[in-house]
Amino acid sequence: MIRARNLKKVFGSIVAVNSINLEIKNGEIYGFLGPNGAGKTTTIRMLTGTLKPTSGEIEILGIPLDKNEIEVKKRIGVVFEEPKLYENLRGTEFIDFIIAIYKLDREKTLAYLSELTEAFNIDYLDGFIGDYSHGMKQKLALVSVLMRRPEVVFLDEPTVGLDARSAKILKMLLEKITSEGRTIFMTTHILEIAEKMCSRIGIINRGELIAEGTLKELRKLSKTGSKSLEDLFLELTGGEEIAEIVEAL
Amino acid sequence: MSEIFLLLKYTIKNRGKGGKISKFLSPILPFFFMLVFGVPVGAFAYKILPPVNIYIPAIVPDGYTLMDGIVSLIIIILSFLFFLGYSPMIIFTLFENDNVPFLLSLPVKRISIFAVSSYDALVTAGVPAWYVVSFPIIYAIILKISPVVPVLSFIFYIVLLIAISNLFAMVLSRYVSRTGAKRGGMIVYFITLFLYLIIYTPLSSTNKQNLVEFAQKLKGLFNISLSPFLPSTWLINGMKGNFSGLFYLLALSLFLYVLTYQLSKGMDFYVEKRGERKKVRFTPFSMPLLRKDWLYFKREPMNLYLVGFSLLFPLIMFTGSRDPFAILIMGVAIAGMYVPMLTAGLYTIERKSCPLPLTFPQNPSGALLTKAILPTFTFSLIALILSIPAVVKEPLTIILIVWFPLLYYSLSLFTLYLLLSRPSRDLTKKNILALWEMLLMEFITVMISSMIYLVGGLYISTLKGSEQKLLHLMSKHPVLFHALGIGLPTIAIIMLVLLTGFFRGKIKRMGDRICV
Ligand SMILES: Nc1ncnc2c1ncn2[C@@H]1O[C@H](COP(=O)(O)OP(=O)(O)OP(=O)(O)O)[C@@H](O)[C@H]1O
Ligand SMILES: [Mg+2]
Repeated sequence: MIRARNLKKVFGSIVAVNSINLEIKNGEIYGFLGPNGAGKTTTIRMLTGTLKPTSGEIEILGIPLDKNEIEVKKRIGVVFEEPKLYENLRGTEFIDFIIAIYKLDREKTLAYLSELTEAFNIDYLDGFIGDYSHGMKQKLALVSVLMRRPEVVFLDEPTVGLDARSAKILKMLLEKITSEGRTIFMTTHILEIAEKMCSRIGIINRGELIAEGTLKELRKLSKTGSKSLEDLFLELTGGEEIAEIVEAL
Repeated sequence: MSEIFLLLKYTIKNRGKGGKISKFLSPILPFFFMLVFGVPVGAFAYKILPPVNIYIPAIVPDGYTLMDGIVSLIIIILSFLFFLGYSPMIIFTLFENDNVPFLLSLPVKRISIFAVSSYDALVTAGVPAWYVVSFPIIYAIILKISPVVPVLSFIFYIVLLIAISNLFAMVLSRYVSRTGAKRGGMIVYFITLFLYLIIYTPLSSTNKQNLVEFAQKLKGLFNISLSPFLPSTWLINGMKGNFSGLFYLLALSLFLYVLTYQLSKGMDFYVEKRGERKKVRFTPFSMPLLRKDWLYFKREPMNLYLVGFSLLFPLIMFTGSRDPFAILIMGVAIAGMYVPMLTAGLYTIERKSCPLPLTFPQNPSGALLTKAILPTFTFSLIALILSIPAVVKEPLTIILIVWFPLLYYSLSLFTLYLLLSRPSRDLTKKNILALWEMLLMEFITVMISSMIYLVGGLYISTLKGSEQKLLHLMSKHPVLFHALGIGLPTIAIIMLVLLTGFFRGKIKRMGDRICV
């Protein structure tokens, strides 16, 4: 469960996130959409305790975040859009590091990890992370989080850089995770993924949550009767004139 | 050609941040090095070479003088160092350079990109060549010939060396991984720096007489070093005004350049990893934070250099020195620079992987405080070794030596405090600390350590009668003598304790500044 009240983040003169409220139940896949620079990553960083909000309250799994960061961090997982890992370590050493720092059960974790690496075609863990490609790092970051079986998973554009097979497996895995009652909070620019997978969708624009609900509920918001999420998204985030702009080019 | 200058300009501009002076300096840096290294060595050579310009058929092959023999050895050694340091450095600058993918997308020839990075590398790794830059002129003066052929021969010899190094780098870049190239390059680079240190110390103490003696021992070597098949021998011939030497050099370097150019067309700047896949093996980590630092420490070649230099330099400089405390203070002065650099390096790996360190179920200040452990331990160990002469001379000084860990721990914490106070830094630099920060820490370290080790050491030696300097003070003003001898070190130690507490408290509160 994720709950945020009047969450706000100001960077200097930029209001990156402006008083947003979120309420996401266990077992949901919540899709967080918005144009570039809308505040998605900033929101994820605040929800995962990696960035202090300017104001507002956050509760994860019923635990207030600001007082119990460490307890919360043990039970959640986050994969950022840019997979920045320790480049000097080998993949195996990184996994060992994660196991030790989260004090996980080695046997169980490694057993599950080997299933995950097989599924995602990861056969390069012996190499140095500095030698990996973007997608290889992304997959390592992903399995290092999933192997812990976190109760809430935050994913910032998880399919970027993944090959078609890995992306498909990820999508199926996410569905399985939610069927176990675990929660997923995901940002994406691929509206098709949001449309197909997410039980609820929030749209953020310039730091403000401008629409929220199931796909059906969102459709009702449309003044022009947009049917697809793409049209709806563009209508809500001010992209109606796209056709004219392209025409003018 | 204009393409290369454009790229070079862009590379220098892009380096940015360095300020006007360094931007202006970097293109002329090689010439600056040439003056700094070339002139003193030239003056030295001009003094010692003329007397050995003699034929000694028993020692040196036909047609060559003893001077030729000695110079050929010097040139071969320096060429080897040049080659060893330079070619990995080219790869290093190619792979280190994040702009290469962008450069490759530009409509420029690959050889231009390669040329720019090899020029960049030449600035740092070309030093060996500058040592002997004056030799053709000195030859011309000694032999009383026109300097044209000697100078041209020298230029083409350098061109040839550059060509060989480039060719080697090009071939090597096909067989090493990104990480491997970087690491290999740095290791070789630092090994050559060591070699200088080791070669230079005894060389600078030789004088004229034992140069001939020295040469006698090298008898067999000259037959090899003056072999007619070696380019260095062509250079010697050229420096003696011989056209054939110049011709061979010109021909071979031209040939190698054509070869390099041809090879560069099919060149990949991205190299993939080769060789056997190792078995995937997991090993349990206890103390994960420290272990992670240790792996970085072990794998970053610069650290090898920091440690090696801190240990060897004081030993080489002061072998046979009568004052064992001079060695210690020298060691402390070096550690005053390198403890901060090592700490900063450990801090950088955390910064580079942000915001990952913030996701762990731990207070980030724990990871930060861990950064002080390895530098403290390593440099305390070095200090312990360097203090052996002092302890042998005066066993009681052990009560001073035990404070080294505290000194280095507080220094390391000081570094972390400075880093966190101004967290936005250019992380691509090798040393992310500013000059004023380095100087500040060096100053404080030397001040405090002098109070403990110089004053304390002198006090103990005087008490024990192995040192006379302060006897006068001891007999005339015993109270002042004891007050200073015990008081200053005690004050310094109390200061260290207080500083350590202060910095620890600050760092604990600044934990989340690890990522900005
Ligand atoms: N560390 C920072 N310092 C200053 N401004 C920041 C910082 N991080 C984000 N911002 C600003 O906050 C706003 C929101 O950024 P954010 O990264 O959350 O966008 P986003 O929705 O994730 O965009 P994208 O889809 O491109 O990933 C932007 O205007 C950005 O410039
Ligand atoms: Mg983002």
